[in-house]
Amino acid sequence: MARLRQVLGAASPWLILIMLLLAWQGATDFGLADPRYLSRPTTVAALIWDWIRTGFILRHVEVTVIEVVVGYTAGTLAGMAVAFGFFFFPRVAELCDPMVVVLNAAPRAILAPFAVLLFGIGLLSKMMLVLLAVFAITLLNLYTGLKEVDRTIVDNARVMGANQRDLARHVYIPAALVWIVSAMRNSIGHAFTAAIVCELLGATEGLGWIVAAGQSAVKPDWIMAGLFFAAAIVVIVDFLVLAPLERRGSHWRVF
Amino acid sequence: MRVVIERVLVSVALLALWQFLPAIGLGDRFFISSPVAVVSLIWEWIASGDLAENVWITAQEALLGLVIGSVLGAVFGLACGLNNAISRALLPLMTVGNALPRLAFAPLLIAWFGFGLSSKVVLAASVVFFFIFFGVYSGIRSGSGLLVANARILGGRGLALLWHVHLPQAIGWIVAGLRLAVGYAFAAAVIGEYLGSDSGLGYLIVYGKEMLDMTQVFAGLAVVMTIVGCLDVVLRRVGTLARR
Repeated sequence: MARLRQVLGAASPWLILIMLLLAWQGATDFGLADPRYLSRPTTVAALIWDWIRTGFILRHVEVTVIEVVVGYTAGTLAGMAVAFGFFFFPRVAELCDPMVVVLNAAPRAILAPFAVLLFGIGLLSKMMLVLLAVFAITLLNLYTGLKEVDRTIVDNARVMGANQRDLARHVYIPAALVWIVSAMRNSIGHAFTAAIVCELLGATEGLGWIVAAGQSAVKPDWIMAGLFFAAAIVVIVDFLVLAPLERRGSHWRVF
Repeated sequence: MRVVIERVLVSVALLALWQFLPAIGLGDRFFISSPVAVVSLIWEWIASGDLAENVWITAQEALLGLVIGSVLGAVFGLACGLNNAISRALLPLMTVGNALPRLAFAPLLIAWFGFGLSSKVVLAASVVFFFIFFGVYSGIRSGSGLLVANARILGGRGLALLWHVHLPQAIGWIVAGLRLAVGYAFAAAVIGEYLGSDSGLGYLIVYGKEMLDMTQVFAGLAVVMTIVGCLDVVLRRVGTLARR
């Protein structure tokens, strides 16, 4: 009995998902909902399979992933550089504070029309928007993290004769790693959101373009299948790559 | 005080650069517009009443989404926080749902709920929901179990337990979630308007984009960011008050 309970408990999220899908299928099959707007699970699944079989989706996944990888890498590096700059030169941080506030005022995805207009409908505009989103998150996370490094550890290292360079190498950078990894985890979802929203507003390829094409042709199955691939990639990257990385990173959280 | 003056000076210097760089041949006004043009367009919007009208529409969408998302998030958060069976069934779904790029779901919601208010409200609510859900859930779960057990022994039950023990422990988390949620509710409303609408701040911005009018894009974005920034400052004050 206890065993059955355990199995049921573990399976319950899947049962809920299956029930939702069945309800959706049933509602459209029995005329409770209009499949022209709602589509139906079987239609969407068939389309997803079709895209995989023909390889149609590959190119679009590739485009979105390239945009995210380039923007994410550049954004993380830029965010790290500026955060360290702010930390070691507090005067600069003080003067730049209003700009940081503006940067942080709203989710960066709303800047998509600006990016498309300035950098065109190619890949560049998406990379720049991803860069900006990731940059802001990395900067704020890391800068706050660095400021929280325990003063006692810094003072102890100083007493033992560490100069500014030793401090950076043996105290600040190891401490920062934990924050960098957590910023990387935080920003991946924002990176994909930025890329896809930007693609929705002006692109000729990519997962966001598929969704936009589905929207303008009133093909809900296209919208849903496109979003399915977008969601699948984010979930895979987040839970299979970054979550284990973060867990490993927190092991040697010494400061 | 000196810092404030210096910050103002730096900002003014940057705005001056933006204004005068095209005059010496660096940068194209067509692409980067100019602060004077942006401010005078915003002034025009204020004078004609366009600004108030469109801000009101976007604010309505964001606030309705905020209220609906918060209520649902709080209900589900409480259920998952207080009951293990519910939490085991729902928490994995919530974790995955939270990781999804939800703002990108705007076209789907517009296909379902139309060009009007409701699609943006649903988008905003779906974004807000997860902030409040995890705020309430983590608030309850991270609270002291000892305190709850003691309150139970003293006869604390149901609503009284919730009000006097769980809520005070969770309030910091909830306020933090709410603060994030406000900015995202506005962003969701604006992005929803980008992808299908005939009014609102997002419509003004995306219309500017279609007309290749950078001044209008900047002006619309400036208004959105000012509103969200001001709300953030207010909520930060509320947060420090609530924690006392």
